[in-house]
Amino acid sequence: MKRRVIAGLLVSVMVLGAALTGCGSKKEEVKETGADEEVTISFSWWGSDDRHTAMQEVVKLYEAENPNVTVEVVYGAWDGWQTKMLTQLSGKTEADVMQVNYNWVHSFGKGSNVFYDLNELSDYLELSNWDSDYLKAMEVDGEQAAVPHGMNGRVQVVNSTIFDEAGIEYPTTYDEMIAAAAVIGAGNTATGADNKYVSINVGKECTDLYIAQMLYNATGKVMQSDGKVNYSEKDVAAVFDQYLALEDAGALPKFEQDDPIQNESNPVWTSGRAGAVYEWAGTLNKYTGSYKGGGHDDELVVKPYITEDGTEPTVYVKPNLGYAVSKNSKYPDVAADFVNFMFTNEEAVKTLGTSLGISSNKVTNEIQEAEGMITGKVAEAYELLNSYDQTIMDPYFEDENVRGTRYIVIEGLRSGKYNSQDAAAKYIADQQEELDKLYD
Amino acid sequence: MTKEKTKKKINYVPYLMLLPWMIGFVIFKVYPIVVSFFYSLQEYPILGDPEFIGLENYIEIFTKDEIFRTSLVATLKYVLIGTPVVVIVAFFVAFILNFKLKGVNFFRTAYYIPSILGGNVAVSILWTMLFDVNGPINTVLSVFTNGEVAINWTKDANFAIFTLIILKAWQFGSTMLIFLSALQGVSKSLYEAASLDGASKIRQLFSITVPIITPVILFNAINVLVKAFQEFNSAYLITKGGPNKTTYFLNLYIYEEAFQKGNYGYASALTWVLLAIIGIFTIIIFKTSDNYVYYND
Amino acid sequence: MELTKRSKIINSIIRYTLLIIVGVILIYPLIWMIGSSFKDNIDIFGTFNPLPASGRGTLENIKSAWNISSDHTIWFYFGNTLKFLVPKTFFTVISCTLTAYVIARKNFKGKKFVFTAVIVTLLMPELAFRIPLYLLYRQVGLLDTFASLFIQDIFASSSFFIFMIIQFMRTIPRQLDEAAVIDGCNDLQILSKIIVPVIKPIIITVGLLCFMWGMNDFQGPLIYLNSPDKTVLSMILKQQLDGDTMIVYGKIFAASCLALLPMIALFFAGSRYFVDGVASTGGKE
Repeated sequence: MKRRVIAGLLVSVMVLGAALTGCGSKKEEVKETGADEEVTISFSWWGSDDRHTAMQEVVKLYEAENPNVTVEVVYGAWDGWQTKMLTQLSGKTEADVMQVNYNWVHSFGKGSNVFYDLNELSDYLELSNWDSDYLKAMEVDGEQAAVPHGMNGRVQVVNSTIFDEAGIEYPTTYDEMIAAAAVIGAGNTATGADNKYVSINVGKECTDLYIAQMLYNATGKVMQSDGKVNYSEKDVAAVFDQYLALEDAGALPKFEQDDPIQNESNPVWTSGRAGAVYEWAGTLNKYTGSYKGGGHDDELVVKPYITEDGTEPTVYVKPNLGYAVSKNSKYPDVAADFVNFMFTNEEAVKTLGTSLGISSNKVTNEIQEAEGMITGKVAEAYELLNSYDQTIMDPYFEDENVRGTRYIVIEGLRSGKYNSQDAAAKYIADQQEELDKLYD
Repeated sequence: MTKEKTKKKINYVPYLMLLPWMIGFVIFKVYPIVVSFFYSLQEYPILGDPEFIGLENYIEIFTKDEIFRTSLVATLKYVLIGTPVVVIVAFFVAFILNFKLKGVNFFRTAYYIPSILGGNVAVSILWTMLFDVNGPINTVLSVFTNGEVAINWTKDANFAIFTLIILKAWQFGSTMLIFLSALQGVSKSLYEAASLDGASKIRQLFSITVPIITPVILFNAINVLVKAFQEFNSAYLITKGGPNKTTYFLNLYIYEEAFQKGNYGYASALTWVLLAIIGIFTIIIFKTSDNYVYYND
Repeated sequence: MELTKRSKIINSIIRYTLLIIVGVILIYPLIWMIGSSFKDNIDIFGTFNPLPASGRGTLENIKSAWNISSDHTIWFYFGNTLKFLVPKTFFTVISCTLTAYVIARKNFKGKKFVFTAVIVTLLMPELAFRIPLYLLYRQVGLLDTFASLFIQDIFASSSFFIFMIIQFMRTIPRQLDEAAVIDGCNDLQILSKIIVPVIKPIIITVGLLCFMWGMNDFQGPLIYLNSPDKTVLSMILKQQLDGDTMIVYGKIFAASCLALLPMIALFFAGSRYFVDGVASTGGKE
């Protein structure tokens, strides 16, 4: 006990001393790490159990090829991971190589890059394997903050059974959606437990993206560019009215009718009472897996997004996730080499499979295709997405401050707290206010 | 002369025994508190360079921030309704579990289980299902109103907070346990004397038990109050702060500002505001407690 | 005499019925969770019946929960939890009891300040401490060690428990320790021979609460620990809830049930102990 207390005292004295000194880090020229030099780098990611297993396999492959390198791994679940990342970055204790989310790259530094500029590491990381557009999505303040793994967009996963049973076609316009609702949702009640809908949006993010896509279709303009919201109040109010009309007709569930289980286990979807769900192409396996308990893929098809007049939409896409190198890394060259290995080594790509989705890196993508790894509904979804004109989401589309204001307005609109006029005004003004903070 | 001398002689023993606490207090409490106060005077993006802006964060909170107002109302509602409910429920359950009954130990464990479950995902799923508009709670309620009611618990801005208050009441375990420990400490001989006087059980409760354990009642009241002010988990897991931010408690707001949006300076200012509010309530309770709390020292 | 006997029986029937009804309401979620750990996802939602539909029960969830990750069983992570939780509980009990004793029983200059300080720190939301403490721990190399999760407790950092013990000590008549002082006992003797035996139930309560809350804590370990071989139970449970793949709820429930077993056992043992403790000190006073 006594020894513990003394040890504790020592620690506390050290703590106080250290607290007063502080620390800084200076950037140096990238020095090539010798092949014989013993090197330890760290690698962090979030994800599911499958991903943890696959990533650790890749690490072993890399260590086998580079016997002088040890890769320490840090991983966990998505929930809380952002908190951990922010804490680590603020304490400069982040891993050398990090899996990063698209909006982190831009939002964490509020417009300045908090990661290593990968352009400086292009000797070790083959950047030409990516389309320049895709790289640009992860460029911050002229620096290449991260490289994207793959691109992702939302599609409609359709339960064809419900339409077959009703004897109607899957709608292509909003009018058809309303007409379909009259058949499919004929027996719907205000709060009914067994209601059927033409389509459902699960969760805040989904509803937000659905409305964003409606706005894009209606106006031909993206949400924001260069820090300015591109819509007029009239544009937004019209789309809000349209959305509410879809809800009133029973094509989409109303706010009061949304099931509280807001993920792929949503009972409306799993029991086959929803005609479609709006989900990321890269992760739609969640929904095919949960539909009627799984194993009913033959009933599901991937369909285009519904538009006002049935024409093909221009869709939003974004990098699903990327890899960044720490500014505080002692061996940025090794870190970059490791990232390159993940994308270009055949064994590594095979090991990762499609647990991270379809890659936009040319080499990775070739291997994925050659090995026939892209199959099923995910392949269909990407095929569909690639048949559209694509627009890469604005860097601040998913900024938590910016989209937080949209979430509040949409919830207020759907629950009747705001009418569509007030909501539209607020939608624009509040987003603009947050964007101004980012661009000042 | 001699009087002076004894006065000057300081007894070091208490300070020596307090030493660990004092060290911990300085390092783990004072230091972060002071630091967080400085942060609150800054525009501090969590990964960017802090910029001193004086009281601007505080001015923003009190003059412009609508979310803060909604959040404060939600927090106060939760605290003012939740605290008395939990304290009373916990006290009566402890009172019952203090009886000499065969197998009472089993019941004590069973009654503590909701608190062991805590923020388990099963609890959050079950809770949303229970309070679903077509769920069993509404089915039971509809018996009394000819099937008319359909309170949409999770979607109605007036009712969502009650689902969280009921959850809090259901997880009374720790508070109950502390009451139970207090009741166990009340000497049997006091009751024996009272029984001879022919006092009823209920009268014994209010005339003997309650006065003796007033320090513990005070402790539980303050503790439940403070915890309620700092509530985070239930809103984070079950309502996500909704609908329309009516369950967006201050601590959830602080968390999201700091670790979702990265506005660390603003979050620190919010923390200080929350601290001040809790402080005021605690002072009121302490000041009034002198009138009814009975100490042996 | 006959009448009172009968009324006693009726009385206890009423008591037990009440206790059982309330008990079932209270533990129903646990029953539902146990039942649901034998179900597939699709059978879990929308039903309050804990029993799996006939012929649809599965043992898969329990199996996959037992071997919760590709490297280890769930007990490995439980073991890691114990590595910080046992010292944490031990230090909390010792340091908080000592501190509380000084504040409740000793007279010294600055006592009022100390008590106020305990209360004020009780009020501080812990969120505010997180970043400054993280930076401190980094400086002294405490990151990614189990010690980072209990170092504070060596220094009586839990105001909650200090305040709790103080309030209980205040219910003990002063004459007890005054008599001991006359007998020539020093402070540690008074504390260990007189005060602690009397407030044994509360010391055990402190230990139990500290243990249970530490077990459920997720944010602390998430932030301070990095190495996969230091992953604790609360983290591995959270890892089953990832947004990119389908969540297998049955597995999570099964794992939660397994994790609950030691806690319930501990609680049962603890609550029995503190009843005995009271019985043995009997009609003290």
